[in-house]
Amino acid sequence: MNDKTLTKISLISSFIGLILVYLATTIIQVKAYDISEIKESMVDRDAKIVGQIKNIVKTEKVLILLVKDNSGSITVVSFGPEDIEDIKEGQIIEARGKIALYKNKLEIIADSIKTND
Amino acid sequence: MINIILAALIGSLLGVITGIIPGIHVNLLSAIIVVLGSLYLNIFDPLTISIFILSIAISHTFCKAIPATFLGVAEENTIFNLLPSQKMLIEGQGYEAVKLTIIGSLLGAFAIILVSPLLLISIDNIYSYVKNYIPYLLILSSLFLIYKEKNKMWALVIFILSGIFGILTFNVPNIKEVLLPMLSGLFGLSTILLSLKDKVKVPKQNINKDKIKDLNLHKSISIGLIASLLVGFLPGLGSAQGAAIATSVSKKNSNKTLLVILGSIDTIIMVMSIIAFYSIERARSGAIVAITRFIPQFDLNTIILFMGVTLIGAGVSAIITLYLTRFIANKIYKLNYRKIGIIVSIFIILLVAIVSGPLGLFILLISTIIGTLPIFLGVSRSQLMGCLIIPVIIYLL
Repeated sequence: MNDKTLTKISLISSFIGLILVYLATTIIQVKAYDISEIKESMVDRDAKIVGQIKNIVKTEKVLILLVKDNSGSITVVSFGPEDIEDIKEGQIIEARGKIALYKNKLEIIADSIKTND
Repeated sequence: MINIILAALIGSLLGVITGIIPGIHVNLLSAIIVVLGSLYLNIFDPLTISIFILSIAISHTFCKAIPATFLGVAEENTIFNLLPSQKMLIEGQGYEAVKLTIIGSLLGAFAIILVSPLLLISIDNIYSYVKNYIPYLLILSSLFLIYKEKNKMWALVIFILSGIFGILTFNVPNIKEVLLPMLSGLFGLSTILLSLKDKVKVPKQNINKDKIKDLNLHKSISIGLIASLLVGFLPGLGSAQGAAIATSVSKKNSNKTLLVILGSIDTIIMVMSIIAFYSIERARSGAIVAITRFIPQFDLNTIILFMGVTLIGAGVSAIITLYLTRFIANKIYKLNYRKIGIIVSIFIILLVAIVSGPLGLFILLISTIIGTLPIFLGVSRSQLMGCLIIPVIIYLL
């Protein structure tokens, strides 16, 4: 193997690596959890939950939802409430985002909230 | 995706820097990254940090051949290539020696990724079968390596002496990164000090960009895979010893073949550690321990992502290491090797003093003295790995 071949193989290696990274990032699905499965050790990890809205607190900048499923309840915070202005109590939603700890309580900082509509 | 690629590239560059600094082990660097974790967890997400660590580790496995070849400083995993690569350096073939380890590392990365589906399926079963026999396999491997020595009695003495030293050192309280003074003395400082005594003159190096002849890459990478499995399953066994056992199967192994094998082992083990953590939840390298502090569980997507990052890191590091080696090989004969040796020795002593404190310096002194014994007694330096193997055997029995 000469230097040129070695350089070519190195470039091919990086190119295949890029393809694998692309595949992994595009097919990565955020894992869905039952609310009771979310623990403090999971803070900063991405998670998806599906549940029913039990309470809504809306301010100009923040939307705070109390979401309940069969296993428990959790607060979902969204800083982009303009996308879901017609959200109502009792609706089933799918929330994706990062698990966070605020005032010793677990919550999800949502990147996206989808309603069952 | 951009953050992942940037983390992979920056990590690879940092790995090159840590790789060429003698005495810096990737485990030490991983420990520093974990300690400083709270500072940048607010800026970067855990996945990006994990990719950064993995890229450093992969790149480090490529670049550490440079100091091992040109400065005679070895980590525990580069002991075995001390003789072949240094012999090549003295013959003016230092560039080719590093190039051979790069070829091994790069092809090793491809090979392990190709066989990873098989490992993902089988590693759990293999481990559950092997785990009860690990101490006995370690004893057998050690006896085999002693039996292979010309001077068997002295080899046994060095192995046991290193083991006693290892047990005592691991029981020293309140010391940070105890492996740093222990291994730096046994395999690093002792070699440099002896080279200072011998007044080594490094000749002008030949930069051979042409095809390297008589390379049996299929055989080398296959042996590298077998040796990596041995090292992966038997804690305490270094890649040098894994290679020694695996190469004993075939009678004729040239220095070139050995360097390709050694180059492949560290990279293969890094990827195997990822698979091992996914399958049996055992972190078999410092870098993986560090990664699991940020990502406590791997899923299949994480594995694919890490494989991709490994290949990116491998490609980038191979090119950088190749060009860096060319530059160093062109300059090394002009430099005063004795001065370099003194500077590196001072660097190691300072590093140990800062990281491990006064007790670390004492351990460094003792380990340096023990590290010189194999050279005087005509025994392979890999017998010094008794310092890890004997404590592991005692712990597991």
